[in-house]
Amino acid sequence: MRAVNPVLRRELVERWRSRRAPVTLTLYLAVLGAIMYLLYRVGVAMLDAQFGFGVDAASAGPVLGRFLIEGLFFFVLLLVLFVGPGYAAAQISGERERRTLTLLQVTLLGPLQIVLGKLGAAVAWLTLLVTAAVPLGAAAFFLGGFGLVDLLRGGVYLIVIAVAIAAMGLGISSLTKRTTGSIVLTYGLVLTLVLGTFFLSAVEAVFRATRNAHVPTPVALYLNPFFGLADAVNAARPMFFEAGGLPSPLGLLGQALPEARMVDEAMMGGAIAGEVVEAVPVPVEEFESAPLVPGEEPPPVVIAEPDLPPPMVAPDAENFRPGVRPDAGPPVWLIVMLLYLLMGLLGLLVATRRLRVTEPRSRVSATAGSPPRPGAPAPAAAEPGRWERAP
Amino acid sequence: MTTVEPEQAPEASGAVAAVVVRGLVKRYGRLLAVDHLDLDVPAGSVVGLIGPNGAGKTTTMSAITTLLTPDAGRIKVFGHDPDLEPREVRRLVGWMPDFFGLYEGLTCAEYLDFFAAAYGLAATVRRSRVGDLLELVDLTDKRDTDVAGLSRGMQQRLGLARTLVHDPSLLVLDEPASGLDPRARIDLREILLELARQGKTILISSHILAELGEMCDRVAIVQHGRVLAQGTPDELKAASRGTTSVQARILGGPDAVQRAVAVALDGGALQAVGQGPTLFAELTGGEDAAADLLALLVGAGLRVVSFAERDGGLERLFLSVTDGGRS
Repeated sequence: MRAVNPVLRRELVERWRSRRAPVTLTLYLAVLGAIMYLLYRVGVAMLDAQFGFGVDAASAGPVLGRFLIEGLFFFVLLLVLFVGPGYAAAQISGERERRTLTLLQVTLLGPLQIVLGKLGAAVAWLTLLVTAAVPLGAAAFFLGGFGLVDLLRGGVYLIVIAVAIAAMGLGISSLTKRTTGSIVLTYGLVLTLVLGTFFLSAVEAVFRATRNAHVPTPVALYLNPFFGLADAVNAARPMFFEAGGLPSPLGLLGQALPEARMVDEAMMGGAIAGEVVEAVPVPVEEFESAPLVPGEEPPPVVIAEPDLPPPMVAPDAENFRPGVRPDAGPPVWLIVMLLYLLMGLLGLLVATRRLRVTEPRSRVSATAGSPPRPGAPAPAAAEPGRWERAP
Repeated sequence: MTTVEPEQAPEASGAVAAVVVRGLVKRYGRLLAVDHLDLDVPAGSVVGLIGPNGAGKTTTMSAITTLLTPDAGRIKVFGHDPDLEPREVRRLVGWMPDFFGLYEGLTCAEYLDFFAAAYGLAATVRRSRVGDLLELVDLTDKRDTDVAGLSRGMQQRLGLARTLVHDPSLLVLDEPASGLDPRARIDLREILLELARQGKTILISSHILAELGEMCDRVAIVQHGRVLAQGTPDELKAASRGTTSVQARILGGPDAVQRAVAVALDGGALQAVGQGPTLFAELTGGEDAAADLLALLVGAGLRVVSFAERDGGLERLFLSVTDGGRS
C-alpha cells in the first residue's frame, strides 16, 4: 500500500493543531443551529396562520419536515460557501508566502501530488462541515416529508459543489502572489456564481419575456449552486399552501426549474392539505385542552376511538413520497454538478501547471532540427552551439 | 561580445565532476542575472561561490537545483542535466536557500519527517534518519519543540538537516552563514567539515570570503553574473595581488574594438572584453602595465579617445569580499 500523501498529512496536522478549525466549526454549528430553530418557529407559525388555530407541529409532519430539511440544505450550502473557499484559497499562496513552496518543489513530490494533497485537505474539511450538520436535521427526520434519496442526493451534491469550488480556489491560489489577493478573488468568484447568475438570469428572463410569452429556465441559473440544490432535493413544486408546502428558500428557487422538473401534485398527494385541515386538529385540540391536573377526571381518549382515520403521519408520508414525472427531462442537479466539476478540474489543471518549476521546453538539439519553441529566448542564433543540449 | 576567461576551466580529468556549468545565461526581463558563467565543482570538494549581492550566485544555485530553466548553457550534476532529468538531480542534491521555510505548528522532528516523506522515504527509514540528523545538528533536545520557537542559528541548523534528509551527494548551500553570530557560525562550520569528511560535495555561497574561511578547497569569485576567477584561496590571493583594471574608448566601430581586445590579450592582459565602443581589460601589475597597454594600442594604429583606470577591478573586488563587504 502506498503511504499517505505527505502534503495531505501535514495539512491535516497543521490545521487541527491550530485553533482556527475547531473555532470555525463551532461557530458554524452554532449559527446553523440558531437558523434551524428559527426555521422551526417560522414553520410552526405559518402552519398556525394557515389553519387558524393551534397546530401541533408533529401533526403537520411532512409539510413541516420538508420545510425544515430544505431550509437546512439551503443554509448548509450558504455557510459552506462562506467558510469553505477561504481555506482552499490560502493553501498554495500561503506556501508561497511562507517560502516553503520552493522547498516542496525541490523534493521528489510532483506538482500533481502537491495539488492533490491540498485538495484532499479541502475535501476533508468540507465533508466535515456537511456531515457535522446532519444531526441538526434530526427534527426533520422525525417529521418526514422527504425520502432517503433526497437526502443522499442533496448531500453528495453539496460536497461535490463545495469541493469543485475549493479546486477553483486552489487554481486561483496558485496564480496569486499574496493570500489576501487569492481570498478576495475566490470570494469574488463565489459571489459571481451565486448572485451574478441570478442577475444574469433576471436580465435574460426580462429580455425573453418582451419578445415571447414563454419564458424557459434562464441559462445562467445552471451555474448557480442553489438552483441545482433545489432540484437535487426535489424542492420544486407549486408554491401554494393548498398544494401542500411551506415556502422554503429552496422551494422558491425551484420555481425557476423547468416545468417538467416540478414534482407532480398528484404524486405528492394533493389531498394532504385537505386531510390535515379536516382530521388533525380535532384529536389534537381535544388532547391539548384536557386538564392535566392529577386527581381530576381523566380526559376522553379521542385518539383511540376506532371510527377515526388511522394516525396521520404514516399515510401522509406515503402520499407525500416525492417523485418527478416520468417525462421529467435531464436532471438539472446533475448538469449543475457536471459544470462545477469541469470548472474544478480547470482549477486543478491551472494549479498543477503553475507548480511546475522548470518550463517544459522542446528538447532543442542541433540534429533533430525541430523548430524552437515560440517565445524561446532569441540569442540561439547569435551563439550557435551554446543552445545545443545533450540529447 | 568577445570574452576570454582568465583561466580555462579544466575538464574533469580523473576526478569525477559533481557539477559542471558551461556558459550559463539567465535573464530576468532586461536584467542579465547570469552571463555565460562557467563553474566546476569536483566531487568530494568544498567549493565557495563568493561575490557581492546580486552577482548571480543564487540564480546559479537555483539552476543547479532544478528550480529554474536557464536561457542558455549546459549544466551537469553527476552527469545529469537538471533541466531534462530533474528527478535524478533532486535525488542527488540537497538545497538550502537563504531563507528558512517555516511550518508553524510542526515540531523539529515532524518538520524533518515531512520533508523525508516528500522524498519518498519509508516510515521506518524516516524515524532513524530524523534521529540521526537531529543529533548531527545538535538539536536532539529540541526534537519536540515547535519550529517557530527556534533561534536563528537553530533554524539554520534545522534547515541544514532538512537538506540532508534524503542523503544527497551534493549540498548546495546559499548564504548559510549570513545573519549568524560568531558562535553559531563556528558550529555551522564544524558540521560542514564533518559532512565534507563523510565525502559530501559542498557548494556554498557567501558575499564575504572570511565567512567561509579556510573550509573551502576551491573558491570562485563571481561578479555581474560571471566567474572572474576560480582556484584555491591561496592561488586567488596571489593572482589578485597588484592587478589593474582599465577601460578605453576606441574609435572605428566594432572591428577596431575587437582588434583592441586581441592587442590587449597579446600584451598579457588577464582578461579583455569589448563592449560597444569600450575596451575593458584586467592587467597584471600597476600603472606601468596600464601605460604599456596604452602604448601598445596606439602602436597598433588604434584611435584611443579616452583611457582610464577603473573601479571594481579584481583586486578591489577581492578586497571587498575578503574584508567583509565594506565597499
